[in-house]
Amino acid sequence: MDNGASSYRRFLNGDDEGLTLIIKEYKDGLILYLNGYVNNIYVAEDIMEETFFKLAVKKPKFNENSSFKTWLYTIGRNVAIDYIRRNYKFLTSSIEDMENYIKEEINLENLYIKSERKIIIHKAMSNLKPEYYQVLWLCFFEEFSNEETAKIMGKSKRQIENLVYRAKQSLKLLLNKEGFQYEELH
Amino acid sequence: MKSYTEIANSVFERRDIYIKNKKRQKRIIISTITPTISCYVILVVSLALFNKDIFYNNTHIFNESQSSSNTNHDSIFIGSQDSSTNSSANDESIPSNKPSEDASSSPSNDASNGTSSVPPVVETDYFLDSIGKINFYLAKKAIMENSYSHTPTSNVLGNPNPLLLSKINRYPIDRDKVFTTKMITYFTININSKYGFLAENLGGNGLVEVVVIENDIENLGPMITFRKNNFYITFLMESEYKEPNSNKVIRVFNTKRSIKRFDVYENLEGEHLIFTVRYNGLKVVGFECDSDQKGEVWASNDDVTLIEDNCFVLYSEQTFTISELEAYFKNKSKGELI
Repeated sequence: MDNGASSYRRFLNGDDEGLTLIIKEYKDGLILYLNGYVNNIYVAEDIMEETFFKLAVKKPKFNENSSFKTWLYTIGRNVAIDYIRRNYKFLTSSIEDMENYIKEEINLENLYIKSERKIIIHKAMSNLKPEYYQVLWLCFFEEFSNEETAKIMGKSKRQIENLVYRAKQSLKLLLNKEGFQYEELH
Repeated sequence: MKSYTEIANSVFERRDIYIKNKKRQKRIIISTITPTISCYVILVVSLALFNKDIFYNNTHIFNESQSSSNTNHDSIFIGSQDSSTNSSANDESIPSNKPSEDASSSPSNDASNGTSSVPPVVETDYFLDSIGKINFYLAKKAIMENSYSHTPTSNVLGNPNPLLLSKINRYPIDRDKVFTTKMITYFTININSKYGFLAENLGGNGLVEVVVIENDIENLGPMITFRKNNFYITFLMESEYKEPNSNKVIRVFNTKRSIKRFDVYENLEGEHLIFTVRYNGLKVVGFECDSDQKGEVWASNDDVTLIEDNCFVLYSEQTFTISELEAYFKNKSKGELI
């Protein structure tokens, strides 16, 4: 059992500190993942908060069929899809917002990704199709297995394998265009 | 970007507000629904109590009228004895789970055995509200008009309780239309079986009056009506055999097609019984009750005994209207037992 699961159990037993620990551990990764859906770091942050709010209020049962992180990211993805459905018309940002947004994203990247090489890749990824971004983020930054990624994204394992292949091809082209030497992501 | 503590605080704050709102909504719903449900329950209970009062009041009236009329009851039943002694001797009073044909008057059945606190409903008016009752009354009228005076040798013949007719909704049948009867047979049987079909449907074991009749009310052909106290059940004929060069006739009736009030019901369950009535001239010489072997599941048949000395067979056309038939018995002395 991972830390997330034990923290969540603590929370279900009435200890709010459990949820605080979960937020601490997973918030940044979740924001960056959700950013792949909404392409706005502030909105992604709101969705992340909404995800934890859902955990706090609904207290859904974690049945340990997957890792806690997979389960949490699946909830996050569902919240994001709900959000997009309700607000897709309003998902635009002003130039001012964009500047702040880039700054915030850089901060978060530095905080969460750390490796400079990976940060460059992440930057390039933001120009990919959202689906490619999401799958690459989950597989190579969060290091989920194809099976776990499939679970989070609500797709089959085979679809994920194809998606990863196409996403890598797309990323390779982008990096080559910007003068980077593409290396196999592993 | 918020720090994790800020996010956690925000989440918990929102959660507290959410829970508070939820509780408030719950309180509002409960405070709205509780008085509504209470009012509804009070209304239902009041109605129930009100109806109960009416029931007791009626029961009281019945008790009074019964005490004044019971003593005058007499029977045209040949070889009759006191009703209470005979019916209680033969009846095992099996409670019937199946609805009787004339459910409106069913409470009086138990009263005949002296086991129920509900007194029998004493008739204030004759009202024929089913083909079964019409059949039975036609037979009685025929017996009365033909001065049937044979005295049976059997002592088990008892006086069934008064024919109890209550005023209920009239059926859309022309009560002044002239109908014709072609054949009337009347005989009695004794049922002695704990879980038999007849015993269950007629409210227990004991003496049962049987009428086999053919009239043109609904052009249904010959039918058989069983009557015990105020339970009537009627079934249609399935086949008829006439033995060549003799007076022997066999009529077979099946529970597959029954009559309730004025409607024919088809029992599709395959749980059928056949009743065989054997004639030799103007006498019923045999009555049998058997499982219909064509059906997959057989109904439990009854142990029946024909009381041979007490039969009446009439083959002649007679016309009648339902109104006349009612009036015929209405004009008889009040309290007359049929």
